Amino acid sequence: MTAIDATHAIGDAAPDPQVRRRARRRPQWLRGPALIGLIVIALWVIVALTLPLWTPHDPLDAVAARRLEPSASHWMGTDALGRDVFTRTLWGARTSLPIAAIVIASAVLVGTIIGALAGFFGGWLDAVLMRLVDITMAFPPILLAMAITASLGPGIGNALIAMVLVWWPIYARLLRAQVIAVRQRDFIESAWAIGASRWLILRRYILPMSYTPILVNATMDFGQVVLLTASLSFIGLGARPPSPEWGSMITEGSLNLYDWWTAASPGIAIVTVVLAFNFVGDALRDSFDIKETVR
Amino acid sequence: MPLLLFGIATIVFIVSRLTPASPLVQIIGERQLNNKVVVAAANKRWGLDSSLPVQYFNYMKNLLRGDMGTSFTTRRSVVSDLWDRLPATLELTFAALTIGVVVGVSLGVLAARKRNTIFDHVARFVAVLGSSLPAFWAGLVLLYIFYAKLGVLPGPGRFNPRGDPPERITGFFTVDSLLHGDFTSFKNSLRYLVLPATVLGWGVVGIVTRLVRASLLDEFSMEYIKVARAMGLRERTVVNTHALRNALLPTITIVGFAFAFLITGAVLTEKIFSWPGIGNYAVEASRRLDFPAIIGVTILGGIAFLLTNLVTDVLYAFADPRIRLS
Amino acid sequence: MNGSVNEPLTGSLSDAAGDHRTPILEIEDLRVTFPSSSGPVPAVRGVSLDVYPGEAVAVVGESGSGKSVTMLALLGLLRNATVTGSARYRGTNLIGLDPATLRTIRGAKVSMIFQDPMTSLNPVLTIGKQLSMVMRSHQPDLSKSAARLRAIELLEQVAISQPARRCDSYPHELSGGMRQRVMIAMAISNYPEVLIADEPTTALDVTVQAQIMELLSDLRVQRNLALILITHDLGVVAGATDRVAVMYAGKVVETGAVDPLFEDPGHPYTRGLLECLPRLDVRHEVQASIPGIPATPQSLPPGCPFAPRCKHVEPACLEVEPVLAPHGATMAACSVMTRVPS
Repeated sequence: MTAIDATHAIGDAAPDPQVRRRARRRPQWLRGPALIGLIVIALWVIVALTLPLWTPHDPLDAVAARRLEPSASHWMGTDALGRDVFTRTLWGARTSLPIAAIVIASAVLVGTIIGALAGFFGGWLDAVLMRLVDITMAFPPILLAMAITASLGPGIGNALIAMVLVWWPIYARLLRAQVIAVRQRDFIESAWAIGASRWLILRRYILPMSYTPILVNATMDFGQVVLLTASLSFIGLGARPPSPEWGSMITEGSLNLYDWWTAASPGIAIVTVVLAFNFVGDALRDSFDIKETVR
Repeated sequence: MPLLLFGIATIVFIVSRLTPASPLVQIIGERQLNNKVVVAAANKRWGLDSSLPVQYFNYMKNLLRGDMGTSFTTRRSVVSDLWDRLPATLELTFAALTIGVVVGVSLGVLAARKRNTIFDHVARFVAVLGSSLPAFWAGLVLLYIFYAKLGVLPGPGRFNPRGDPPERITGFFTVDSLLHGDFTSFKNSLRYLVLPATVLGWGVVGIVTRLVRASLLDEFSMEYIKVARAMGLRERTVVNTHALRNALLPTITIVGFAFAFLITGAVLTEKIFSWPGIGNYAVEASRRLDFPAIIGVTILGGIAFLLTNLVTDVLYAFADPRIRLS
Repeated sequence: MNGSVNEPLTGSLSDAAGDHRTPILEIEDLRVTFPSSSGPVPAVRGVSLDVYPGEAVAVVGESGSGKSVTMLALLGLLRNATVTGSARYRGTNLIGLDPATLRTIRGAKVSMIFQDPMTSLNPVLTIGKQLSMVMRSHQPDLSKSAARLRAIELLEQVAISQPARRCDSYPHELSGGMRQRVMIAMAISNYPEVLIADEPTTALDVTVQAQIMELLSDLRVQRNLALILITHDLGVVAGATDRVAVMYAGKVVETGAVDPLFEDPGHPYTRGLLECLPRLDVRHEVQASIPGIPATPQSLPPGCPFAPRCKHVEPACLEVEPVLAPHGATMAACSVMTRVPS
């Protein structure tokens, strides 16, 4: 390995700006793992949307003998109550994916509003809001989510609320940083000087420039939220049986290790979804060259 | 800092009082709910009869005295519950951190030195996998393979139920058995520790590998690395002594973060492996709506986070001479 | 320059006609190409240069002329580059030499110092440690304590006050000039025979510049060190070097002893450079400059690369790239200026 990268040496010579710009526009990030990730996500989304039309079996009823090993007729066997594991796994997507989407969307929304307010107006509002952010982020996410869910009462709806409450601070911080960075730039001063209102500046300048780190974070968070949902259900605080949620399926599977398929199937599902989002998120981050994400 | 602690305590209080349900159900059982005398007595006993502000005041007052109340389920003080279980979690956390950092740094260096080769891709895949696997599921898989199928490692639990754990000096089974010179106990506790520590550690590997790789690659493009090579230093020296020293600085921060997270984030792993630590306590408490316990654990988590951030900052300042000497 | 081995050299290339010494470094037809998304880029297109023991050669040119790349290439410090040609140090060709052997030469026999002292030292290690590392890399038998003693001596030689204390300092505690001295100390710690200095004073204040150049000069005399000074500043060249090689667009376009070159430059580019130098004894109305933009390796015109900016351009210049030919006391690559009058 040697010291100078080609671009550094050539960089001495005034580089041809055209060449540089063209190279960046090509969607290079869509190669390799990111492409696989995107395909996997697309498949899961299609499954989640269309499943009721073609589901192999009923996810809630017993359809065969109990605890059957995987076979041609039951790809992932049956669980302790005789339900087809493969079907239930597919159905799990209909819970996990929408929940994650809602959680992220809400967290981004709440976080953006709060972060923008704090960054824009500064002063005591900023101080108060950021204290709130700091305090919330001082808790290990799972603990806080557990506490809130336990308090509100176990159930997937409350788990959702809990997760939003846990997640919004990250986006608040992110957006506040963006707002502060952009706010100090000269063209904002000019816009301000010619009478543009705060909201206009926010909407037309600041927000569009912030969406990249939000996008990267949100993509990577999607997987984490799926994990958290499953974790809460695993403990018994999220989805309740007989709902076919991946986490609670794993709980059922943990009761008897030897029926490995009951836990393996939902686990693999989780892993594929989270990996997919991680791949895409990684590639996005590399392509936007973001060194700083809030976590 | 004290403001944050105060804020943590307050938030936890608010969270615990969000509940629409009355926690009394857990204490006196459903049948008694109609019995007014019992209800009144329980309310008084557990301080649930006063108004919210008064409850808050009492809560804060007690906290400052180090009293987190009494657990609804164990009937012991939450503080002593936590104290009993802390060493188990700490032992697991340290083990996981060690594995995570050692493996993570090695993989990160490998990936950076052999950038864009197969080693790089494999290392990064292992890392990403660590961040993508649900800890509880990974634990199950490993238990299945090594315990159920191969039988080489023991199942859930912290120690052989037929033997006695070493007498408590530090509370760490591994350390204590060594201190007693009891190598059988040591081996035993190690065997129980391996799987849960690996599961937890893998998550750490995920973050550390990526960070070390990225930091190293950043360092490699630094001018002083070019100079070091120009002066004829061995590549190994360049990487280890020059680049790594700088690249590890941000890693300290991440390790601090990981530590705080692990202490109570080990929740799921402890559940799967029936590890008698704080995480397991938290799970049971959540299920039974044991609010004092929930409050206690959550506050502990918050404090742990703050403490480790503080220690990390100090360590970082110490390690970077530019900060240390200014 | 007193006392140094310094016969005025005619700009002869690789033959030592009339010269009883052999070059310590012989670069012959060095070419460096970088891959890029739009095809291979020829950063260096055939550079030949001889350096004799103890002499000071300046390599002058603008950014993009390939002067730094040439030196980096011969030390094997380029990644992803295709390097052809030869660069012989005492007969051994450094190009294509196996990395292990090259490493023993680099920093020990042929050393290089760089432009930016602020980022050239590792911020988390002490000066002493960094010096020791360089020494012990090439002298494995040197103990830590002996290395430290040597480090202190070296710091003294490069005129750093309180060398023992400085040994335990960190780079950020030193000024730019001092850091540059440290780098020089590192570079000479293993008694090299050739020192390549890549714009060593560009990032420093003018007064500090003079001090550093004087230091280099003293070291040369004391150790019979050959110095290759890469610079774009002709002012520095005049006082410090014996010979000059002017580079443009990846090639040497003129070479010669310093005085003749300054008095009667052959190549129009050299002429242009000299005209741009502000002088105290002549009134300037306007700051002179060479019109046009420097040629880049990616976009070389056919024929002479300087043709687009040259006032003496003729149609033949656009077709054939000129080679070095005698012009008075120098060698210049310009078909117009070196034309022998019929």
